Amino acid sequence: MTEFKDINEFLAEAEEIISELSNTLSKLSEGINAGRVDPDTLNSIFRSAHTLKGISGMFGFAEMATLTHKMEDILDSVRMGRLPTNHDIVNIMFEAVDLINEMIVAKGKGEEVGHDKVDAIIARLNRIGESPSSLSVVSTYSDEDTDIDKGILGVLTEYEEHRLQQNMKAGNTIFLAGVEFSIAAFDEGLVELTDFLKSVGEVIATLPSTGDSKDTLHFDILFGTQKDAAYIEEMLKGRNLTVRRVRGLSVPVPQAESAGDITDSQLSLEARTEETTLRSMSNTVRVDIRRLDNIMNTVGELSQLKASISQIADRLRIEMGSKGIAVELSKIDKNLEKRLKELQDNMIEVRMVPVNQLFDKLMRVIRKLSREIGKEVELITSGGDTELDKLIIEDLADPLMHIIRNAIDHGIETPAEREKAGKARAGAIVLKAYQKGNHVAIEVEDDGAGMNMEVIRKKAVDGMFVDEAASHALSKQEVLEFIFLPGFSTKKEVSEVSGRGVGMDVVKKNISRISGAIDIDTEQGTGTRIVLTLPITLAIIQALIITAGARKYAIPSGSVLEILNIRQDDIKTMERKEVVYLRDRTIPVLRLEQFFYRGTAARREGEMYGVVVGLAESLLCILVDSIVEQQDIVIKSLGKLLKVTGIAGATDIGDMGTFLVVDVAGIVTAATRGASKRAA
Amino acid sequence: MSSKILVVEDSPTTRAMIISAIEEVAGGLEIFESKNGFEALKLLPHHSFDLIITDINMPDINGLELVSFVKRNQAYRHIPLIIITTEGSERDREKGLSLGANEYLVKPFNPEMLQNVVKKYIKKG
Repeated sequence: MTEFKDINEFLAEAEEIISELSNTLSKLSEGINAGRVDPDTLNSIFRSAHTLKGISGMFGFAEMATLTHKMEDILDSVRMGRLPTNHDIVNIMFEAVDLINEMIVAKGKGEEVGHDKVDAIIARLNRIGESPSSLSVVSTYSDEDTDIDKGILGVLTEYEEHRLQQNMKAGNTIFLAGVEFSIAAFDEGLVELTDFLKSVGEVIATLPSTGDSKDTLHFDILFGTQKDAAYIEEMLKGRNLTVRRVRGLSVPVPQAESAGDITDSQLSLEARTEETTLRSMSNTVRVDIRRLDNIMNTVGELSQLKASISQIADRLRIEMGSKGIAVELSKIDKNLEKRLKELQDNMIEVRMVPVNQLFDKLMRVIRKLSREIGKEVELITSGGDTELDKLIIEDLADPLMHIIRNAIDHGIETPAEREKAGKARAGAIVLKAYQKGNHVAIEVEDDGAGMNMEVIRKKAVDGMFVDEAASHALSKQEVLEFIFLPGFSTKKEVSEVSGRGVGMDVVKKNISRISGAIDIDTEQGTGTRIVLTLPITLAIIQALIITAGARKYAIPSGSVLEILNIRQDDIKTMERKEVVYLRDRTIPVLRLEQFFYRGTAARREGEMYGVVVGLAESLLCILVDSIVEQQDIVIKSLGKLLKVTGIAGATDIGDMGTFLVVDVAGIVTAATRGASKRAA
Repeated sequence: MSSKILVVEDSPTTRAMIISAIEEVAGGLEIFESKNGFEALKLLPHHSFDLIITDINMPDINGLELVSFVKRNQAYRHIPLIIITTEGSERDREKGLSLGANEYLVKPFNPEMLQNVVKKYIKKG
């Protein structure tokens, strides 16, 4: 017998719904602020609560079912206009969602959340539900008000009827659009049309019916808009559809030529549609990331085996010349390389998730925090669809949370302080993600009080991080570097929020562990911006294999900006440090063997190479003896006990043996502290 | 010959539970699943289903719209259709029945009840 109930399935879906809910609730909240409540958002919130109620009921989670049932009731009243849409509702829904999240986490561990907590919120929801509404109950719909076919009206759900009525009440023009698509490919065309209609109004209902031929489907789309009829008719011109204005004022629109956009896309869609023979149309699987790691490791080992094969192929070609079996092996080797690359790319793609997954979680925390400490904070996110490796996203959660906690706790001022400073009462935190070459940048910017350089400097002197005299010569960036040092904190009293013993030093360490870099910029009175620069994936990376001081190292190619041919006399000395000039910049030089072995590097004559690496704003030129090749490598951790600055881990490549992988972020930070200056 | 059943439901957990409940029905069932009305519309022409089980509250094309489509189409109108919804949507449920749905069940459904209803309709077919 198959298991009727699978708790993991429940947990996974519930978590997804919670994430969706916090997203849509935030959207609703923004809508309320802007005075424009989007009915689709409201309805989607209702549906989330509805589904949660359904699944918790079926799993026999009575408490969660009661709670979500209450939420559903209230949300139903709100979407049907029986209760007002306001911040009170949004806030209690957020609290309820937080609580459900706690309950789900507890369920995952086989625990329970205190009943009092659940009862308390149910009681509050009950009060909202019972409060005599100032809004009049919506009168029942009368068929006489409209000239929409009874056949169509008969299919509308109660909610759709309500939306139709609201549109009519608002004086919107109601259109009924008829469109025909091939059965095989209707969804893309329909989604495109629906998205367009949503951009100019509200889609009230989409009704499928049998098309003119057996291969087509007909759709009647009922939509309401504030735009005037002529505009809509103009916009829809050229599309293969009929539009009728309804509600007794029918103005037929002449049917346009059938050579419009939809017909075009329809043709191309039909061409690539395949016969549907699959048993299931739902083709999503949930996989534990560790399984992907295992596959990824195997792929990594495969590419190392492949490297050995390449070497044999090369040797064979040298020994035999380009003939017979040597050529055949080379061909197979090339083919294998191509397939392996595909396999890797696909594997990496599978691991990618949008950073929105993280942003949603952070949004919940921000709401909760700002409520707790009585600050008003508005969160603005952008670039949420930027993708990152799932594991990086996981490892990013804590550091990012800490940065945001700091921003709310120390950065954003109280509403009163803000008003005094001539700022808006509510502070803003902007969370932004975007791709930057081979990296993804995540920015957290607040418009709070910023950091006081003088306080940091004094604190650094007091803590003996630097002596008084030298401290005055430090640049702003150099002063800011202190906050990343262990045991450095500037807020005197430990607040409940950030006082968890985790400082920026730990944030920096965690970010470096995933080969990321952290940059900070602050302006007193204006705010602080922290930028995290992260690799897209850690699973398999391309690396440059180099030799330095008779040892081989791997440098991740993602951080390599360019490779220079360097002679000894290209290297200048500036402030007792070696530098090279590249275009208008002065770049500090690092000799790898010297960095790791602290010895005096032999001054070499003749040709050398400079590998210019950069992360965020800092550049560094690593001097190496030779460039061996470019390789795909899998970084293996050296273990928790062995931590060396500048080393990300080890890798082994076929018969070349095992060698160290340079941690570019770590080495750049270590080497450029106090060295990077713009050339005059 | 095995009977073909189409399950239309947007919640993966609920869908899995419906399927594992009806899988218990003897006689060899071939179960197809759609996570919304769109997918159901695409599957319909390719299989002759003996039974459709659908939720009402789904995005884009909802259960009522699906019922109306099936029951107004010459090729599909004979297919028995069961609605599974949560309590509280009585009006929509009534509408579903008046549009031609054969039966409805209320969530959280009892697996045995669902099995009995399924047995009743696949025997007829």
